[in-house]
Order: sequence, then structure tokens, then C-alpha cells
Amino acid sequence: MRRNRSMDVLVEEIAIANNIRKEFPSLRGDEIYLDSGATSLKPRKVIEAVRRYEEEFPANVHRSAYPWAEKATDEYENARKNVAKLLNSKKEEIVFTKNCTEAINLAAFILSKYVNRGDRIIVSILEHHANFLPWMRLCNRKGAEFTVVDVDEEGFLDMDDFQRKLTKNTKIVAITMASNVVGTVPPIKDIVKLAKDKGAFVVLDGAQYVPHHRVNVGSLGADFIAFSGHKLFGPSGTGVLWGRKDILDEGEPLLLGGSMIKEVYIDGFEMADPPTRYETGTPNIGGIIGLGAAVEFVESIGYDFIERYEKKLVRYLYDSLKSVEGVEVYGPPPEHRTSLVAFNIRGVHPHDVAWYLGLEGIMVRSGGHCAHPLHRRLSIPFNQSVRASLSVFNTPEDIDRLIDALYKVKRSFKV
Amino acid sequence: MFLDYILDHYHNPRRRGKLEDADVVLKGGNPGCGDVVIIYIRKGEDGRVEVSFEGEGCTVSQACASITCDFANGKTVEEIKNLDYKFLEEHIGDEILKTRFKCATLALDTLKSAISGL
Ligand SMILES: Cc1ncc(COP(=O)(O)O)c(C=O)c1O
Repeated sequence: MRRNRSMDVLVEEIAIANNIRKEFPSLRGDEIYLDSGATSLKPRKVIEAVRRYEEEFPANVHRSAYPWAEKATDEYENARKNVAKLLNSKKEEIVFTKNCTEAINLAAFILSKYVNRGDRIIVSILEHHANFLPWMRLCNRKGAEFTVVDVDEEGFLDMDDFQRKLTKNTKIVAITMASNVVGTVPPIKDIVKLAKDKGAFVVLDGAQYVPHHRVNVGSLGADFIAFSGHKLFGPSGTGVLWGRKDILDEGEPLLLGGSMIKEVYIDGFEMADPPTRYETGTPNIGGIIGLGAAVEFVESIGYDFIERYEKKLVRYLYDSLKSVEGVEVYGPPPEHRTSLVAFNIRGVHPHDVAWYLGLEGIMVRSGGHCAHPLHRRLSIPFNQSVRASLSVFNTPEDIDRLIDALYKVKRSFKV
Repeated sequence: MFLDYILDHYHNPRRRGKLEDADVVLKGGNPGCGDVVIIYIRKGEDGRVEVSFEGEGCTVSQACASITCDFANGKTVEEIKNLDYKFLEEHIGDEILKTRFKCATLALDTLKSAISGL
């Protein structure tokens, strides 16, 4: 907190963050983790939940009647209840997947039957490839129009462009709730309303949003929301698709086989009801049980605190980066973004920056962040950037250390 | 660290540019990270080869392309076939080599694939 006097993170809030930090066994050393946008660290409670499953009742779910199996099934379904409560949805609307990518692909598959030649699917240039390519392929297969909404130079979604492109033949609008590169949080409520007025389905990519901001699916009015469990303090190999019940009832799963059926005959089969219909085969049981614990972890901190604290933290990060000469920061001002900032040091390749920071014990990500069209659109050098992404355990001190290390990078690379 | 040495090769690359009448041209890249190196080889009458490169990407990949081509230039085909990472380690140190292995060896790997096509 040396550089920026506008920073008004309260001492108590930092104390809370430092307490939360103690819940993460991986943070025992001196390292600074600024890559929660790629995957979050796992709190003890989550690791413990996974360990308990693997050690104490490691049976398959939904299949057998003995006590381990019942316990495993109960805990697995309890995770579903937790996620449903988090989103204020019905538990039948929660489908577990292995990541956000699978969740979006599943949504695209379920909606594919409604898309015909000449229809239009709208995405934005902000999208992660996971919310870009499934729709591009669907359009190519169906002879539908793949339409990309633009941003302005600051990374704000161009709402005029959106409204222009939102034609009567638009079947699906698939938009991110928060960009994983520039952090932009588009006006989702407006987007949903405009899309719904045109009768389009709305699919939201919540990967970078749900870990930081409360979502109430009831009042949002979208049809699908996908996110990663592993970015929400859950184990790797976990993701969630929330889908509106009436659409899930009419849809088909990506995979056929065990679990997803009610009955199989030699000439056909009946599908199980959602959400089981969409969870074919043995799921990531330990992982999902861990995700259930992760949701409890989030609730115990509370979105109110997460939002309030991270808002100040991201402002501090943004202002601190801006204060370094030769650093270019991408995207809108902090009040319009989620908890991450992408940047470059002019004259140093982002991979070199991230590597050097790594040697200094600071973990950030570099690359195209699975958002190549966005990097190209914003004319970012090398089409790559360095990204620092925050979580509720980070503190202004972490950011100060990042900034100190960036000065070292500048000195070492002589820029 | 050997960063100053790397920066010198990055900013003042040796053996950078196309070789006219090259016998082999081979493009190498690390998928996902955008580093690209194109290796040019021309075989001389005396069995020795001329080597050069073009490319773009991070400091380490481009500097090591310069170091590699400078080192390989004028050697025989057999000598290049027998090159391993040791000379790179001597030039850039084992910390950079270890922590940036894919970047550092991109040009060498591409050169060795190219020479086998000669
Ligand atoms: C905005 C966004 N969408 C989708 C994804 C894909 O998530 P996953 O890796 O869990 O499939 C990510 C994360 O990498 C992301 O940031």
C-alpha cells in the first residue's frame, strides 16, 4: 500500500483475508498466487472432503444399496443441493460436468435441435474459446450464421452493435458474464432482456463471474449458465451447467451409456430424468463432493465480503500496474471489471515476464488466455498478455510484491 | 543469470535472415505459445554448412535461435547431428535452460530435424 493513496482497503478486511489465507495449505510458503482465474487454490475443507470420500466411503454413486454407496450418493447429491442453493435454483437444474468447457458444449448440444439453416447465433469477441468454438461449429453444421459482437478499444461490449446484430432470426445468444482477459463485466441483465424479447435462448459463461459475484438464476432469466467448479475453490475436474428445467427435460445428453437411462431394450431406450440424464457414466465423485464443500466455503465467507473486498483489491491492482511506466493495461477501469487485470511491459514478451516473476515466487499467467480473437481485436503485442487474477485470500501486499518484481523485470530486461 | 547475454543475442541477433538457395528450410514452433523459428541450411562444397534463422516470439526462444545458429554455422553435418543441449547450457546457464527448456531448445530441435532432411 505504498504507491497508491487512493487505496482504502480497511485494515479489518485485510485481516480477514489473511485469516482466509490460512485455510489454503498450498500457501504455506512465500509464494504469491495470482492465477486464480486459471484455477483456484483448494482450501483445507475441500481437500478434506475429497480425502474423506476416497478413504472412508469410496463407492460408486446411484448404484448399490450398501452403506458406503448410500453415503457416497448422499454426499454427491448434497453437493448438488449446495450448488443449487448458491445459485438459487432447483437441484434438478444442476448438471455436473468435468469443467466449464464441457458444460458449454453440453448446452450447445442440447440447443442444437432448435437451430436451423438461416438462423443466427450471437457471441461476443470477449469470449474464451470455450464459448466461441462450440457455437461456431454448430453454425457450420446447421448452415446458421455465426455472428460476433464487437467491443470498443477499452474492452466494453458494444451494445449498439449487439442490438444491431440481434435480428429476428437470432436463436441463441452466448455471452460471457466476465471476460477472462480484460475483465469486462457486460450488462448481462440488459443482454438477457433484449435477447428474450427476440425469443432467443441465452447461454452465459460464468467461469470468471461465479467465483466472485453472486448469481441468482431466478431473477437473471437466462436459459443456461456454465462455470468451472475448479475456479470456485473446487477440485480439478469439476464444472457445472445450470439449465432451465423445461429445456433440460427436452434435451439429449452428449454421451450415451450408463446412468443416463431409465430402461434399455434391444431396439431402443428411455432416458432418465435430468440431471442424471446428463451425467453419463461414473462421475468425478470425489471431485463433486469436494465442490460441495467448496460452495460451503464460499458461503462461509459470503459473496458480500468477496465482492466488497475484491473490488478494492482489483482497483489497487489496476492503479498500481498503471503507475508503472512502460506497463500497458488492457480493458476497462476497475469499477467495470471482475477480479483480474491483463497487461504487458512494453518491449518484453509476456512469457518472459511471467517466467521471471515465477523465479521471484510470483505466479501469473501469460499467453493468449484462450481468447485469440480478443487479443487480435485489441492489437495486443504478440497477441499475448500477462494476467494477474485475484482471489479473496490475496492482499495489497501481494500486489506490492508483484509491482516490485515488475520493476526488477524492467531492470533485467533493460526497458 | 545469463540474462544480459540472452538480451544481447535478442537485440543483436547473429545469423538472422533468409539464406538464398538454402538446401533445407524448416519451420518449428511451440504450439500454444506462438514462438516460431524458421531454420535455413545451405551445404557448402567442403561439407560444412551455413545456417541462419528467422522467427518471432519470446526473448529466450529468439536469443537461443541466434546462439544456436551462430554456434552451428560452419560446422559439418555430422557435427550438427551430434549437437546436444550442452553447448546451450554453457552459453545460457542451466537455470534458464531448465526453466525455459522448450523456448531455449526450439531452434536446436528445429535445426536437428532440418539437418536430417539434408
Ligand atoms: C471465461 C472462461 N470460460 C471458459 C473457461 C474454460 O473453463 P474450463 O477450463 O473449466 O473448461 C475459462 C477458463 O479457462 C474461462 O476463463
